Amino acid sequence: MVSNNEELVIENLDKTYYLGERRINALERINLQVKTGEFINIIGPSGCGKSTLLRCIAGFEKPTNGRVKLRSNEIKGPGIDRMMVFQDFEQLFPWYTVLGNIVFALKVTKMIATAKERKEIAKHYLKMVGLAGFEDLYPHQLSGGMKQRVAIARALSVQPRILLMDEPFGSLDAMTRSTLQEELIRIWKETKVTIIFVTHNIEEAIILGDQIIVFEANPGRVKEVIKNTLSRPRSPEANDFSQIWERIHKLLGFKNRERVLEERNLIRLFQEERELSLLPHL
Amino acid sequence: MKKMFWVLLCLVLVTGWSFAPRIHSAPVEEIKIAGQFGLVYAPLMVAQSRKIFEKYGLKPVWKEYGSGGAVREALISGEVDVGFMGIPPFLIGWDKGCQWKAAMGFVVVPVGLVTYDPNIKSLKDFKAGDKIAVPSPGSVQHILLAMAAEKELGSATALDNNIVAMPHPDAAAALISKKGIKAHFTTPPYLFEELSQPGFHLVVDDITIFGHPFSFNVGVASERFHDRRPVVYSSFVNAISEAMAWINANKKAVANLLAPEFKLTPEKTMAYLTWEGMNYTTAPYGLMGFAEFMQKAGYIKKAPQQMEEIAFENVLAFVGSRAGGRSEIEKIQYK
Amino acid sequence: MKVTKLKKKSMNKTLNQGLFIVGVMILWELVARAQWFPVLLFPSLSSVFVNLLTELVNGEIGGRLLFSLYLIGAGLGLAVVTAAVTATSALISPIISDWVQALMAVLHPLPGIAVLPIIILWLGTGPQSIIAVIWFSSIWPLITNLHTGLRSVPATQMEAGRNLGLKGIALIRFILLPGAFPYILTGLRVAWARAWQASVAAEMVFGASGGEGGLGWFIYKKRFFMEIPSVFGGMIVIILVGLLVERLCFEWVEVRTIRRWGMTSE
Repeated sequence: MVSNNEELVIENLDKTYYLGERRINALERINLQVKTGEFINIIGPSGCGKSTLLRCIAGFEKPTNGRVKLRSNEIKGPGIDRMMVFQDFEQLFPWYTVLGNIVFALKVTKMIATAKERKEIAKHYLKMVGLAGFEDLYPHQLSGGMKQRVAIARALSVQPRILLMDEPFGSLDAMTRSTLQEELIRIWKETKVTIIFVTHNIEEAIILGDQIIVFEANPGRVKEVIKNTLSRPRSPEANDFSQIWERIHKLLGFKNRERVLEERNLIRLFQEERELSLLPHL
Repeated sequence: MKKMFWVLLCLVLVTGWSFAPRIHSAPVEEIKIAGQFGLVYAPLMVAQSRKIFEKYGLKPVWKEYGSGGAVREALISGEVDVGFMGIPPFLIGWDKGCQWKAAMGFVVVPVGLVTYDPNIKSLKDFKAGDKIAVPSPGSVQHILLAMAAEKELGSATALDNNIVAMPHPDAAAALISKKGIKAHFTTPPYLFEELSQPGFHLVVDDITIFGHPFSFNVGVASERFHDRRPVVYSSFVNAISEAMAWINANKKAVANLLAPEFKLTPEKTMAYLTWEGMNYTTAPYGLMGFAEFMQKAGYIKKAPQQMEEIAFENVLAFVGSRAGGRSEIEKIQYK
Repeated sequence: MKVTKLKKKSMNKTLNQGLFIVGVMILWELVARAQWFPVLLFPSLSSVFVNLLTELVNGEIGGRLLFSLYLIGAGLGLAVVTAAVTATSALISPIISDWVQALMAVLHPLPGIAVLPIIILWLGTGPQSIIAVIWFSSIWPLITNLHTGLRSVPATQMEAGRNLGLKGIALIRFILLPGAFPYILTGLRVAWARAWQASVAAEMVFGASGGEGGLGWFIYKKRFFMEIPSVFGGMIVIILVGLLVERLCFEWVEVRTIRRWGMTSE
């Protein structure tokens, strides 16, 4: 059906910020190809630009140089073919119920014409993420893990080509995190959606990804791309698991004090940049 | 340091000297007097600056209020011993059960309804949206307007929907700038100021409405004060009488004295003091006339049958009671 | 268990407060009847209520109340529209945002009633001036809350909205306004309280016009005719309307919106 299976191509992407007089290369010459249905993991130290890359793919930010192409079309802005799931528990709309959040997504994207159908589809996705029966609760009544499940269901409901996940399990406890990882793999297999998953947790990267892209910071660059062919389900106890773990750990390296400070500056800068970037879209 | 010493010495001498005469004078009685600001209160200002109260053994404590209503409330609460107000506010209080009576007339002044609109020649010419400013509901001006409305339009309340309550200075400013209000029912000096504007004219005046002059303000004292401190009461009446007599005999000096207070030239003050109709007199005018009208129009529930219900003995003695029909001075108490 | 306990506690509180108010009312009646103060200044509560009833029956209070509500509705309505336009422009343009903040800092502390003399000079006396004072009194809490509220919406929610293809007016309508709703409600509450105060104060300082006055004018007029029980009656009506609007309107909305959504700070 599809002649080439390159879902997403990133060509020579640079992203530069200015911190006062200083120029910071958040991302430098990034080149990546993602195939349809792949599960890609991006891992790197904080401030390496991995989130920035995800935001460029989502269309929230524009690359300084280079481009991101989705099935040969250059990305100009946000769109429902690339849905983002954030780390932040606040991503759900608190004024809608669990069901309402998904129905709203289906309604504003004009995906589904009738209210009845929208409700059915929303229920279907809630069932997929294991939240059948929780339709009428409001987000504030949910636990962190449940909130992230709703966010995944909402993102999937509009049938994106790519699911972008920015450390979605980063704020969860270890138990919930590992349950959700398993379920995500199940959902991925079920929906065959392409997933780009950002994490700073080596174990998570190995459990989830087909490919693990290791980033280095300042400038943010791809250090190495690791093919992960471990058979699923993957267990950290396995021998080859720890081999990959050691390898990534080594690639990430140790950080000295100056580097930590530098990263803090960058994080702050990204935050400000993000807030400012909201204004022109109104 | 040396300079400081001389200054201190002077201070001691001056204060010592100013306290000295007290030793010889009679015991001083404090009296709290409520007034408002304006030309009407000239007798109080004269008495103050010429120390007339002190001569009668009184130590006056002045309290200035922004409206007749506030003066009345001060009297009721016992904050002051005597106060000055229009006959209608005085009667409203009396009707509601205030234990007080008129202690004297205070001043007769021209009162008039001024407009800038050449089309308004009588009350009939006021349209629904034309605003008439009066100082407050229930004030002399309001009641006069009601009297005029009854006479010309057949109903005392005919213009009630046209009135707005505004203090004199604000209303005068509004009328002169022709903003918001069409007419202002007012007294000197605002009356004089407004009438001196080109095209401003009287729609109706007090004499036309009431038939003859009336006391614009009366002095009011509580029965309690009158009964418990009769000497202070009579000293107060005498002091005011002396101040008034002095005003009438020395208008020029009064003009010079008051001009800076009103921020006017002495010439203008003089012109105001001697405007036709101005009369500083302790004689009461129109006490009963207001009462009868206000009862008929429903502003008060009961009207006094006899003057003694609303006036103290000095006023009654002054008015007298002629056998075989009312005397001239009795007649002017009625409308 | 916990819920019933809480309910009981709040019931106790209501009962306690109710008893206190009844106690104060009884004390008032007793003090008034003892006539320690002149009856004119301190009328008995029963006479106040009898008066109030008469004025309710003859329609005087009702007419005044309706007029007050009309003035407040007009002033508050204008203020809401102005505040919405201002806050939205401030959101789009950082320059306008600076201006609005400067204006808020300078004008917010100024009581609406203080601008009355100027408003009278510009607009004359009458309802339009009172509406203007109400507008001026209520606009600042509205703008301040709207301004803060719109900025309080989490960036993630905005991006989630943009991800769904929302932008411009749709983004404001579907994401920013509901997100800012807790602040909007607070703003409306404060604005309503201020509008009431302004309308009563404006009418009492500058007495509106006879036929067109609201409750402030009612109290003002009654004061000059020394009908003190009616003055208290006017006050009671103002209190009752304030309570009713707070309980019936604002709380009703609050329970159905921000409390249900878990968007309250409690």
